[in-house]
Amino acid sequence: MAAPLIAIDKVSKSYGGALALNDVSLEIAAGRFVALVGTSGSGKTTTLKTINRLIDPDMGEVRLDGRPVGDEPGPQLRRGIGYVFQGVGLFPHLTVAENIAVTPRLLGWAEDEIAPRIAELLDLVALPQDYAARFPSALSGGERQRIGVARALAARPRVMLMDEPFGALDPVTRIELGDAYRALHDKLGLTTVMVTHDVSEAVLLADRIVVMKGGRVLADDTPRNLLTGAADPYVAALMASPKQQADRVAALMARQ
Amino acid sequence: MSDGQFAAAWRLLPGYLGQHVLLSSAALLLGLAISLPLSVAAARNPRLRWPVLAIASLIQTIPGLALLALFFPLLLALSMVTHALFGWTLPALGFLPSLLALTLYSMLPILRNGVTGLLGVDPAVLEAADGVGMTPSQRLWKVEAPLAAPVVMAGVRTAAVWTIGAATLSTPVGQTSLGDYIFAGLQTENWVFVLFGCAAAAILAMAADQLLGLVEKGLAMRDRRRVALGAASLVIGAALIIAPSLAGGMTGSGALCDRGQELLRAVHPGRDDG
Repeated sequence: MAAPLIAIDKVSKSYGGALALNDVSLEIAAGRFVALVGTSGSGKTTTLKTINRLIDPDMGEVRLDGRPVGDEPGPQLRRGIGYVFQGVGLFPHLTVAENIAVTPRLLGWAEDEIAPRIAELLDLVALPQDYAARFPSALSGGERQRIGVARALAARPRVMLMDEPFGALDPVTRIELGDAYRALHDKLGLTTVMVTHDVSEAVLLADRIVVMKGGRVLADDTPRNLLTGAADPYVAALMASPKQQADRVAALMARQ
Repeated sequence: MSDGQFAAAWRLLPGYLGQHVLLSSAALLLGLAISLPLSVAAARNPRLRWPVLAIASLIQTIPGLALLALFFPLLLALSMVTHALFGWTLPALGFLPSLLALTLYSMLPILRNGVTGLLGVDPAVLEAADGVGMTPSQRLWKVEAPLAAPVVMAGVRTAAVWTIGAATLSTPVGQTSLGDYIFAGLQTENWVFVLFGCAAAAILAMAADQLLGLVEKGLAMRDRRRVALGAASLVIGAALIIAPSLAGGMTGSGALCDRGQELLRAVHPGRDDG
């Protein structure tokens, strides 16, 4: 069996005496789409951030492609990993094109490599080419996050880390962008770790779901296995929630 | 008689104005050089923030003239130390104390606005800067500084106007400035001189404020031409005003400077600085 691309090995992290991560171990194989699911405070975002060293663990080790991520300085590591998060964080003083080109420029790409790459990425996220000269303030929320994804993909990373990327968007856009991103994941052969508290989203997009609670991993399995029978009652209840809600909606519609 | 006074005032203008602009711009530039790095440090480090801003505020509460006068004994004391250690003395009157006092005076608006501007940057943008792989230094120059710049410029404007105004108080510590008109006019009951000095200082302050305002607006609107126009006008204007004054030597109008020295000797009999 091939070594996992990302290995989180007995990682712990505490903040002011409170344990945010409690001996967490996870393995993510190359090419997989893994969802970290749980409520606020479960440690899922903290776990995600140990992969690109936005957070450094107190104990344990995180390895990328066999090498400890601590061996490389944070900024350099992050230039090889795509990071998309709920707040998007497009640079308001830069155009869409300049936003997308940030990491390539940090890596020293030649200008004549960058321009076609920007055009390629706008196509990839299904936005018109004339958006390149616009400023983020002129874009809708969904469009901004598409640029956020484009920016994260610009330097051709192997790994994409996403922290509730579509959480601030309306349900229709959320589904649209989720599906579009899964298609990109497959097309580009990415390895994606996505944090979400939306169980439906995790079930529909991910190859594996990791359920976390109180800084611990409660379950780590395929969506199907978790849906059909989870040992832990909390996990079972969590996984049942999308269907419960769908049933309630269906009942409401049947009554009318 | 009024004509003669006006003409006399006008003749003295290049020298006084040159010295005033030289002093104000030196103090403002020095204030920027100290306050900008200090505001970055204070923005990054919450424990540093309060002491730094508190000390700057405290300095602001000292009346301008008192602050300028304070440097006379301070520099005398320091001069004794440097003389004992290295054998050289510091001038306690003239350009140096004026420069130091005015620099301190200019620090607060720049510090406050610097910290406010930096802390006002959207945290999501900062997280993104880290996420795309910028080092802290790259983050500061490429993201934080451009986004905080309009707020910082507003502080620079305030500092500039205050410094230009306070620089008129440098006359009693032996530094030529537009204040020479005012002090001389008060002593000799020459009201044309007093008004001339007030008007000249006010017009200078307004001109600096407007040009810096142009730069501020350009930064806020991301309009490079405005920024370039404002900055170029300031630099060229200052250079044109200062140049003749430097060519003629630092002390400007001798007669009025001597008058200032007389005043000081009357207040501090037995002191030899001058």
